[in-house]
Amino acid sequence: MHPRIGMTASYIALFLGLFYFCYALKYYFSSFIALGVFNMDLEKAPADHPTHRILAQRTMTDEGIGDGPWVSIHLPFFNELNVARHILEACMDIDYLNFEIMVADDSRDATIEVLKERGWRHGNPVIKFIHRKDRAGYKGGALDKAMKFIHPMTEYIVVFDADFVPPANIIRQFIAQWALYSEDEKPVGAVQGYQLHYLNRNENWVTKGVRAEFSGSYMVERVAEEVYGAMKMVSGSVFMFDAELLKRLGWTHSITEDWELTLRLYIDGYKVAYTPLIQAPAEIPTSVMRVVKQRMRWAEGHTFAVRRYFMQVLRSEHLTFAEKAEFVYFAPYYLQSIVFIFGSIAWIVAEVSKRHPPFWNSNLGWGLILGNLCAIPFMGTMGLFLEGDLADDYSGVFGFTLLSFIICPYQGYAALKGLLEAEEGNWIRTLKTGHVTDNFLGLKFRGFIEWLSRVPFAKKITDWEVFLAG
Amino acid sequence: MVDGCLYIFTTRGEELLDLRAFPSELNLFEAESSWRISPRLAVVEDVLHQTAEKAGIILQLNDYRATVVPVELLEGYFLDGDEKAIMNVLRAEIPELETAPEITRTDDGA
Repeated sequence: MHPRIGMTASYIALFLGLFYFCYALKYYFSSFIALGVFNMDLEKAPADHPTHRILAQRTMTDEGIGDGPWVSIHLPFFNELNVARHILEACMDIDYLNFEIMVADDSRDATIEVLKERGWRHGNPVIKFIHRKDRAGYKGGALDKAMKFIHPMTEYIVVFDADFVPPANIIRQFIAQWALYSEDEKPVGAVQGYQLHYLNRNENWVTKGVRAEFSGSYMVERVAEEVYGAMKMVSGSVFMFDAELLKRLGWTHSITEDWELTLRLYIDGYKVAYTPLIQAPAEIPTSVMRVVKQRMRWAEGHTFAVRRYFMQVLRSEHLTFAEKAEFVYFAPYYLQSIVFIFGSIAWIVAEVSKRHPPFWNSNLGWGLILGNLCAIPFMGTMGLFLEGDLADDYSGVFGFTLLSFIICPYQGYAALKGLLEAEEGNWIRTLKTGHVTDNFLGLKFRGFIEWLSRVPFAKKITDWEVFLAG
Repeated sequence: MVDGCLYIFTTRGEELLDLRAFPSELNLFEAESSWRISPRLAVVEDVLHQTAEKAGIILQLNDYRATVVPVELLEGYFLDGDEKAIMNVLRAEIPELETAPEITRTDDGA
């Protein structure tokens, strides 16, 4: 191999590796921030520290939370025969007075027969079914039509995808969380909760892997973003939105309608609040190809929307520096796959030709690759640890790492497509099976200090200290 | 020819009929039509005149009755469930209302 090719490949690998390392650094820092948040002594923390809000649900009770604001729960359906009854029954059990349930249905299968059952029409709470004969605008189009039929007194819209099972107190949790931000200079437009992909976590290695990935994202990455006031995404499900604001912004027909809504929310001068302590368990895609198709849609839609709103976001006077920085950081998020693929190939070429820049030897190169490779699995591990599920779900970290390698080229292709195409592609649905392997019983979080006090070496230190004191 | 929307309204104390009473050939509450259901009001959009007539027969067999109510009252009821305005109109037209469930059709329909 020509020496110049090897040297060029080495510089390309170094450049792309360092680019990816920016993301890796964030994942590592986020992990330590989340660790700090869940172990913070709130009594000693400054009153305005964001951790107070992030963990407020730990100490909140339902007392004092009335049934005042009218809430409209929206459930987008598309061929949800396997899960339709579960979510409708869960929503009917919600402990709140002033709310309605609105099913925005585009189904073409026997789901329609479920919706026609008379048992849903007892009127407490009121369930409205809105069926469309076409799928124009996909999920955004269905939700947009549902918005036309909400109760006139609706103050908040809550959205759940069909495979979620919301707990009975979720509306009260959302309202209580929203109230914590009422004095903020920048108004909250939406509160996002934790999409706890959990219900079939033990079905196979794919479900274990996705469970670990989501744990990293929701327990670590978003918690850190809340701490440093970054832009946070409305993630398609388990969120409460200001009804007047949603009427004004409207749903778009994007294949990632949630991300586009997020961008328009921030451009309009609002922000998204997040807490991992409002949770709704959900089903996990069960096969590699289902995950691949889902991620390809995310990658394409995300990149398309970034391209469309990039300058508007950067020029907007309503966004803070931290929010814009997060947007710039998040903009090429799905292009990371391409960076990773080309960076790895370039590094292998450089290694084969044994050509490296004088300041960058083989060990440093492999160290950089290893550091990049471990970042997301580390975040997932930390997420599972903080949830107290690491002992049960640690294998998911390996599954997720393998899955991310498989997804990588597909995701990269879809992101490039979103970057270059004139119009977005079609919505590809993620099938829900309705399989449940694990019942979700409630919140559980682990403190690092508490855990440390139970490991053997920590016990010895304690004994030694006691001995000295004696 | 598209004639408008079909509204099936049921008065308080009665249960909306089983929508499976309509054969799928009528394409009323099926995948290929647009419809809405709330506890006591069902709406099918863009119903052909001929289809509406057939649906009317089925509704009559289920003790429903055809009448005309302003569409905005029916749409308002679908939003907030407050039937007062509809009932004022219906009482003027149907003396025995207290005992009979109703079918209403839009004033822009057939």
